[in-house]
Amino acid sequence: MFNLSQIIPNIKLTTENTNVIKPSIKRRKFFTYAGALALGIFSISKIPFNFFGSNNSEKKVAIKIERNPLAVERRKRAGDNG
Amino acid sequence: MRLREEREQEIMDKKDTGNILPASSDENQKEPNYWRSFRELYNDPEFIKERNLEFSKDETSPPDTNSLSRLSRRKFLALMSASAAVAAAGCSNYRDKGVLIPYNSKPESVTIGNPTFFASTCDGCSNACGLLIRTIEGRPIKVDGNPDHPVSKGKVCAIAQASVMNLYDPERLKNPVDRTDKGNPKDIAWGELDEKIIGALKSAAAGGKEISIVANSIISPTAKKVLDDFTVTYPTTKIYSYEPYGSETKNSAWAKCYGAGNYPPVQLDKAKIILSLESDFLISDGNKVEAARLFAEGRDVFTGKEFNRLYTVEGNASLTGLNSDYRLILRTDLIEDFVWCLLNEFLIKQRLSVFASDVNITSKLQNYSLEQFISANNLPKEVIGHLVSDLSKNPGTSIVIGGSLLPESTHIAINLLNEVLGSSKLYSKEKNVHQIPISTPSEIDLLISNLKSGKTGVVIHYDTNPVYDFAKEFGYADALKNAPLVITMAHIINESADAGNYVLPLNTMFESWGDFQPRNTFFSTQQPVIAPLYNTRQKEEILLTWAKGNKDAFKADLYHQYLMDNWKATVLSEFKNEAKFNNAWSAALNDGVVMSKSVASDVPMQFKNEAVASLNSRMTKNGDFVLLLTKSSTLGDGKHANNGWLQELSHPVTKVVWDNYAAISTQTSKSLGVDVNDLVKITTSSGELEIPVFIQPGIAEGVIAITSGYGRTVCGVVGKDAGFDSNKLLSKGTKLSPYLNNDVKVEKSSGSYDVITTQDYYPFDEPFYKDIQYEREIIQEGTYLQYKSDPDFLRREIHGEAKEEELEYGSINKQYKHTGVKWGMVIDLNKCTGCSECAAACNVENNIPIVGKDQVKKRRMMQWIRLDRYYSGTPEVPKANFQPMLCQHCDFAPCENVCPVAATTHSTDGINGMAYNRCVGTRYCSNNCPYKVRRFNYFNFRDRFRDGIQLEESYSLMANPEVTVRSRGVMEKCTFCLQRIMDERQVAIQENRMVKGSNVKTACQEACNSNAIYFGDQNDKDSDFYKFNNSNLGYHVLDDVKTKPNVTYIAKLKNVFETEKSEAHN
Repeated sequence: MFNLSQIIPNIKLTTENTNVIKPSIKRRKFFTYAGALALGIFSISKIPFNFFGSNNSEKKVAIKIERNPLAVERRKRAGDNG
Repeated sequence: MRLREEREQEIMDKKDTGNILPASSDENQKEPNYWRSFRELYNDPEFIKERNLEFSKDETSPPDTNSLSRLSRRKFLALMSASAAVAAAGCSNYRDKGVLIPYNSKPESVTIGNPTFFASTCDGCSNACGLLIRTIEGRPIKVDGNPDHPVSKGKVCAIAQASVMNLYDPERLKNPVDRTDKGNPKDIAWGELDEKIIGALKSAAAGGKEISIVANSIISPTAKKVLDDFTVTYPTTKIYSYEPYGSETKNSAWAKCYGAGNYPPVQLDKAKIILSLESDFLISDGNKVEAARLFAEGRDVFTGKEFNRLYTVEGNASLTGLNSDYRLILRTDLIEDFVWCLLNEFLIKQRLSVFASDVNITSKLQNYSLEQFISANNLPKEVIGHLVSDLSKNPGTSIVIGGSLLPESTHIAINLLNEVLGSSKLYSKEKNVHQIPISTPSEIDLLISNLKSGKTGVVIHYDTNPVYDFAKEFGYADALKNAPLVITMAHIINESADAGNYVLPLNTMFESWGDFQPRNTFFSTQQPVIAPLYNTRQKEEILLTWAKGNKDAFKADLYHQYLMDNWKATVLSEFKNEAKFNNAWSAALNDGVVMSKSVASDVPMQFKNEAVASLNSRMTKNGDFVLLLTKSSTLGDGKHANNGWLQELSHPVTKVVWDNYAAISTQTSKSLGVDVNDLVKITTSSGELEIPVFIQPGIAEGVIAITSGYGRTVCGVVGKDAGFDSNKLLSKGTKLSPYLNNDVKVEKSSGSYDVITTQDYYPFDEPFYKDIQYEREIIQEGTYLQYKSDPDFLRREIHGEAKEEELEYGSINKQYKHTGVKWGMVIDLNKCTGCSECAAACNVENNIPIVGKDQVKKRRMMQWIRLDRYYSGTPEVPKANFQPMLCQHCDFAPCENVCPVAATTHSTDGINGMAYNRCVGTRYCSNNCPYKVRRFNYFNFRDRFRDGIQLEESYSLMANPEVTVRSRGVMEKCTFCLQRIMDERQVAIQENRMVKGSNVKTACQEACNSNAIYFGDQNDKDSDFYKFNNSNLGYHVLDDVKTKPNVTYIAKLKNVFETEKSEAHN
């Protein structure tokens, strides 16, 4: 059976994790920060950035490409070039 | 040309002594002294300094940091924060990229990614060449010639090549505009506009007021019918037809000499001796697409056919003249005297023809003597002797061609000369057709006087711009102010539209139906390959709606139906059954051409002697100066001024871009006391113009040549204010011709103007090779007779008696053996005229951006092909050679070895490729390229030029999707149209066959009017290309550098008399 302590002899296997880091942030503070962040994102997303961008007053309409159905496509393009 | 050993020894000697003399001062040199500009010829120190620099000083000079203001730490941080905030805000506004949606119902013929082709007809000028329009997913992206067209035969000019830019021009008019309130032009709906105009037309007709339609020459039979119908509805209609820079005097002389008709096409391919008198038929005079092809057929070294011989006599330095075997420089107003002297020689002295016994004619010739003329004008007697001998010994196979700008009297004399020489046999039996006769100057005068006297009710500019086009002495712009209603149909705003009340936006030729009959032997069709991009209509349907007198008569297929009905009644009248007609109509659209049932006339033309006998006024020398107004080969009459590709295509002779200028000789510049770029004031009875001077080698003393089409004041941002309006000097043509004037005053003006020419660019002689710059043999030439007597002369002169295997290069690298396909190109310098059509086609095919005049000045042109023009001889009597220079795809490519990121590499089929996304822009490759054919994107030129007009959505639609659009910091160059090779490879895989070289045509090859470019597989021994590539006249440029190029040039052969072999060389 695989035994980690044989491979790394200095590690002592135990059910208790002695290296647990104590929480450095309080629960209350966490929620305060998270709330402020959400509020910040919401506020920024609502800023009308378009106002800073293009100042074209008239909105450009995308050009629509349409084939002419009555045009006749050429069957053969050209001969060999020798 | 000498043996390699001799050359090398001489170079070593020069190295030892350090005695490297400039070309012009080496009196004992055996080689021709090639030069491209006066600065090079006279070893201008600035030029020498510049040519030894890889990049111009503007390109490499670091920014001057001292000139920057000092910045505090606090201010710097504040600015950085502010710019970060602005950048963050700006980034949120990304352009909408759109959504790709597959076809719900795919059109049967469309395969995504595969192009489709449509036959159509060009309406860029009255030649109406056949087109083959290539579209991808509905977008027209490239225009080539229709191979079935009997005249253009698969070729088109630069104007047609670049015409896709007109379709996608973002400055096109998108809606009808009501300009009745000049200060506040506003869009108007078509229905409202039609109603207003129909009302005005009805009231004008009812009140007996003239409705003047000002049109260009009408060559469409159905458009003529529309005008007829319009005239029936509005009987006071009068149509004025004009052709800017047309052949009015040539046609009127023809009508006087032969009773009726226009000057016919000439069968140049059958001519052995051609004498061109001030005619630039290879680039701008008449149908140049046809003329260049037919002329080149007589210079084909591979057919074994005897070469033709071209003599030119001219005052201007034309492209045709610089391609000729013998060129005589003569003031233009002396040309008529020269023709009379030739007639005297043939009729009085040699009594060559029956005309010799016509006293009415011979009496006109008594005062002329060729010998006296030669000595009076210091012409080379020996060359004139050859000319006279050639013309008299080749009856029926020699032809004299007069330039369209010459006066009627000169053309009458030329017509007689052709009759005397039996040359009229070379006139084609086909006839050039105008559906409506071109208006005479007196008819235009009548139009003006009707306007002034209030007899005109409505003026319609039928896709014309007479305010700009007409000679100012007509006073049209002022007279137009009296017209109650002026309607201008146009693609983009122009001078006439600006002066009018309503501007009607027109469809381009890509969106229009039409038919054309430029000659009596065939009809060609025009079909819309795309639905109109904007709220535009075609001019015929606008008139038809008005002719029906009801705005509701308009419907989308109004003119299409009208056109079909007209063809049903005329061209395809034999197909009575509806189904059969529909088949025939589809076949006509498929082919683009229908041959006419009325065959060419075989009735011999009868020359009317009285045309000569009654000739009273003749052109004679007058004053110090002669003014020539010549047609631009790119901008035409100015109609195409807003096309940046055409503006940036350099003039074939002077290599000037974005401008016109007054071309004068060195002697004239001395007498006027002006230098290049100095302004001069030219005054004629028609008007005056201030224009910069360009000193042109080979132009006659006193001659001033100005190209047309520039100086537009109301135009899009691309063409506005580019160059000078030479139409200010046009005359009515009552004295000589509208384009020729010898009653001119020229004086130096104050100030100067930068005329930018590319002729000094990309010199081959970098410092490393400086000591062998005159030994490079970039141009190889000989004489036709020399080649006939010794076909191997060139190979022997280059390589001596060395055998093929001894010519193999030694290399430190093992040479890759290309066992499969190996691509190569052959350029026949005998057929190449230097016209630049290839560069125009390359621009379109490879998405090459416009960089603008300021960047061209800094040598940052992006065109992948440049047409090198080398002069030899003296500035007074220069000779010229033209050579297209593009990436040579060298086997031992010096660019590949120095690229630090392996962005340029070689493929197994011999192509020197570029991986754009790998390129980091070191420019080492350009530095190491001996041919200087690599182009660097110093900017994103699309963004930079004219406030990013090339980034507009419509321009983006123009791009060829098979070619990457490059951006800033990337090197690029010719790829041998790799995308076309890949197409063939794909088809070969589908068809389970090997790639065939002859199936691939590069864009430049397809465009070349004279068929001078061949492309194919160098390893395919059964192909014609193999024969061309291994011709005994073939050579590689800079062979000594041992790069093993894959572009072979066929040496130029001058068809001069053998005794003048040295003449051909220098």
